[in-house]
Amino acid sequence: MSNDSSPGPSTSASVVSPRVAAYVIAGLIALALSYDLLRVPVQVSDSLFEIVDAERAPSVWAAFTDQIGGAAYLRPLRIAQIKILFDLADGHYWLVYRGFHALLLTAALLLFVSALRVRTWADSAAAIFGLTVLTGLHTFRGLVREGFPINHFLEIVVFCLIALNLSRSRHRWWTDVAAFATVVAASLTLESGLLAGVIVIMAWATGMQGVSRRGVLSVVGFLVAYFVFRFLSLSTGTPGLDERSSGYLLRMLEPDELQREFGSNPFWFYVYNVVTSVLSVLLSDPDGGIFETVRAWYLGGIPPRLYLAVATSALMTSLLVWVVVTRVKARAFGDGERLLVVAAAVLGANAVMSYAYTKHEIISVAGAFYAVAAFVAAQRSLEYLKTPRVRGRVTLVVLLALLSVGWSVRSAGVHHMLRVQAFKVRNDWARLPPALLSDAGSVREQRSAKLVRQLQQEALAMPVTNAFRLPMWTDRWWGE
Amino acid sequence: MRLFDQDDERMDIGRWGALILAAPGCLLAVMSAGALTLAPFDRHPWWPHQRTNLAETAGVRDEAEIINLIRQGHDPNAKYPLQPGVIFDFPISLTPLEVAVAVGDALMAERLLTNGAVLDAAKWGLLRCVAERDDVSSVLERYRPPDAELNCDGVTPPWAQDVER
Repeated sequence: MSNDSSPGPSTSASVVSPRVAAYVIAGLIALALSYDLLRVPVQVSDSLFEIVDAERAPSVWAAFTDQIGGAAYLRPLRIAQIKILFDLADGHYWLVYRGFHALLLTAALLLFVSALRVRTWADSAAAIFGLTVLTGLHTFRGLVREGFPINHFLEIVVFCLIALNLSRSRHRWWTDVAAFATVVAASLTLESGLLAGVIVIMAWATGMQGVSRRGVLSVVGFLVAYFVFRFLSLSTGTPGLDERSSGYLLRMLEPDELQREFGSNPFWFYVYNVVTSVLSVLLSDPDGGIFETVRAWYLGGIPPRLYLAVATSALMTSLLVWVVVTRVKARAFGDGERLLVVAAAVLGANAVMSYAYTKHEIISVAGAFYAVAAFVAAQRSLEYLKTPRVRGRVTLVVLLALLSVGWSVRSAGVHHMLRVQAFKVRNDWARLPPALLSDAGSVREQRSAKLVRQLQQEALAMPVTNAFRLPMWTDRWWGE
Repeated sequence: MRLFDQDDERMDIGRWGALILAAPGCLLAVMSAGALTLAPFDRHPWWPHQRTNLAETAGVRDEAEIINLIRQGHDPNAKYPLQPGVIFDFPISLTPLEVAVAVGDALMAERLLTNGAVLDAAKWGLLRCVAERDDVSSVLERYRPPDAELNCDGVTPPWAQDVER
């Protein structure tokens, strides 16, 4: 970042450089969250059948090809990855699946710091603040709450941060190859992986030089090929109203309700989803298409967690808007502004991808890039504090204090959410239908039942915190 | 000299701004490090794990722990002492099924009955009479022994005397 922005520049005499300090803080936060993840058993919903399928798949290639040609989704790498980890696990399923989740999480936080190019102590402070925004935003919860058994949404965030890092690096021959491979892998894992392509293209358009024009053209070529292959060759469509439930105004609508309400003309429902997805990232409400604050007020009381979420997000977005306006007025376009443009593009593209239905996880890439934008806003604010003859510096310091405390409290809430999740997941194993554990049936079914019994045994043996014995205030401030 | 002072002031505000911005995040990281240090000694502050016996577990909606304890050999039909504060404010000994009925947890009652808890006619009659919630009564109806009769005259919950006391 800009070298002149440092109120306390790094010197050769410093024991720890600003960059190392930011990495250390990111590493500690990642370690703490990884520990939480390892306390959560492998989950039942959206996970157990995937593991059983992986056990039954004859090979990784078979798992890959079986997923091509689905009606609404094209995600062949998703099941192939589950199969790869299953084979690697050799019986240690919890360790491998949860361990991989923890590794992805650690990679995401370190890649986040790496993408910010920390050089000064001011950058370091802004990066640490950015980490609390990244982990405190509600979209981040979707990256750690569940494993299917791999959290593919977290994988997509990692792919997108790799794409950003490559775009911001010095160009070498292999950065083009790596960017292309990243976009391909991300796109074949989940549809939101296409955002990695958006990032490479937008980064190049704003002047980032890590990926060359040739590299960008190859990515554009892949994206064109993806759409042709998906929609023309495979006739794989997009999710319809009958696929999933989705939030609308003050409640969740089930697929049959969605079809009844919007079946004849879904256009405005799609517009609603796109708009609420953008608002969700910028203001933390609506969440999953539901206006949570209004709903809570209507039901009789707004818990503090909603006040905290909406207030910190509204203040953060206001600061971002102020920074953008002042930079546009000053006709300043530097490294930070490039990041802001890329973050805005990701927000727009990610929201459009959420047109069919909305939830935390889908918009999580935009959430991660909102944190990148928050870093730029914080960094520019610290620069502003040094500007001569300006008013409002004390106000700005107070605002930064409120933001940093507020986002840190939100970030700490992820630990609470994960211990509640561990309790829920473990209880899901207690409620397993007996038929899944029974030895009746074919040899293949007996083998699957043995696997399910092992997973259940491992889950039940894990000590977790009883969510019903936690103080009430933890749920009011950090619950869901 | 004056200009130098203004520069100094601006630098100070900049430093304070950076410090204020980073401090909560750093504090969170330091607390995380401290908590992780305690984890190997089973003292992680965010993951408190209070061991409970089978009856206490039945009162705190922990179905997984119920199955875990039964598989470890704990008897689902025995009486266990309940520490004051876990479910009731006074010490008392109850069976897990009695506790599940006392707290009105139908799922827990079902879990116990499918994992070894046994109801004879006398126990069934007692619990069916004291069950206050409809869903708990429904579960008990499904496990009604053939010779059981419902006569609630003069029946009081096993924990009622202690409540009155």
